[in-house]
Amino acid sequence: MSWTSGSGTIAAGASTTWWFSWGGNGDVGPQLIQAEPTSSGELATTQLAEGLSSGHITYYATMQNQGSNTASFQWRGGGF
Amino acid sequence: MEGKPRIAPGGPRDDVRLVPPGYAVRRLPDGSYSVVPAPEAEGKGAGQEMPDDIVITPGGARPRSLVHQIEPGAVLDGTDGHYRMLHQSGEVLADFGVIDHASEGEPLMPRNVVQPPGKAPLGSGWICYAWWNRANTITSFSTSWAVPPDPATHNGLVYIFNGIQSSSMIYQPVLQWGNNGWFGGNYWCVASWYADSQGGVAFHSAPVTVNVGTELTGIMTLTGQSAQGFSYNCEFQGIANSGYPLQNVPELWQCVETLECYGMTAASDYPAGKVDMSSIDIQTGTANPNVVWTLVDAVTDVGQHIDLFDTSYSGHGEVDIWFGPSPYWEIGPGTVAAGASQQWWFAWGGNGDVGPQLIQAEPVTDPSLLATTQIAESRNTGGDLTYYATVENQQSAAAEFYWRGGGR
Repeated sequence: MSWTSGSGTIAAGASTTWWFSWGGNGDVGPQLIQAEPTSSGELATTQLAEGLSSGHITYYATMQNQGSNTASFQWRGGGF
Repeated sequence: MEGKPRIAPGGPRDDVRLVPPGYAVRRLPDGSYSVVPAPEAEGKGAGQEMPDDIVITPGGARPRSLVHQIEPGAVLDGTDGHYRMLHQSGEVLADFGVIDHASEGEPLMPRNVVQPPGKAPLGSGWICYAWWNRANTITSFSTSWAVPPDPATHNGLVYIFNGIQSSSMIYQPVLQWGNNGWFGGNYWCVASWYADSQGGVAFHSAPVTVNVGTELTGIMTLTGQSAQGFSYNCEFQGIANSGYPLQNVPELWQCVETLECYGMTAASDYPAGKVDMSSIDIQTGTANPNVVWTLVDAVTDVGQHIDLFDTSYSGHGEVDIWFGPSPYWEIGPGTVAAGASQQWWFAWGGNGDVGPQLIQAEPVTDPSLLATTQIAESRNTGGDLTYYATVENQQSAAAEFYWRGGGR
């Protein structure tokens, strides 16, 4: 099941980490999460993580803008 | 129980009981008699109908005559091993006789599950379960779960519960789908049970119908301890008359989380997906003990399995029971030290090529944060592929985890 979530801009060379949460215990299995540029640019998704706290799983994704200009993006993902 | 004397061979008798095929009469130490399954019951075969006088309770088949409802407001008293239903005033409402109690050793279930007559196409009894033995007296044990969706087909009997047991008895708040020969049907209902072994006596509260999606909390609490034994209460929190108190019985010392089924003919007799046995809270005395669950997949014929989700035992513990296969594979557990990284390898049969794989570390230590920092593939000189994944613990305490992954 694929999904899209959130959008924003990121400065050239910068990194940012976003978190993603679902209902219940938050567990939606392994998730591929990637930043999709919505303007010209090159975005690398550098790390995916899962955190467990108070019985709830939260997913984290970190991306880096590897281009020379500020870029717009949205997150896309999916699992099994 | 009161009744009109019946004329049996030898003259009128107050108590005449049917011994169904495959059952035998057992003499108890107090001189009374009990109807129990024969060691090698005859007359079993695929497609055989369930006898009318057999009830499939949690724990398996029992003669209906040994299944008793505890009336709302009444207490089940087991002083000196002699079981009676008491009114709150102390008046005896029913006398059930003596139940043998074994000394502490092996837990009662699932080794004493009595399989019903006939043979269903799929496995039955305790399907998947988790267990933990206490070191000190259990004073409270609660678990929350949502009523699953209805099964697509309606041939089976499904029990889902947390429970505490000894070598002789089990006490359990039970969610039920299906007819057990005594109550239930194509709907979900809850009742609390206290049952003994080998098809012996079982006591239950009046069943209460519940709806799909209802959040249930089954809780057992120690209410007293004396020279006469231990006293407990068991109920579904917030559901009136879903349990009954139990007093002066031997200690119950093993906690379980269980899926138990009978008469299953196809995967569609199971609900879809999984049930999350969550918010597990166990107390011994006033403390939360260090609980380490042992997980058992006893029947896996349609992919049923139980997973550890959260090792916490102070309100956030969770094990997840899957009614069929999960949509991804799972391997583990492993433990990674605070701040450390670990690389694991994954190999499949043949040349090992299972296509591109998404592999992620799922933490089960609460709290923890694990990053999967690298996924790699390598091919050896023989042409075989091996996959690799690296996990990094980004917090300040060791974390237990499982690997989960899959491809398309």
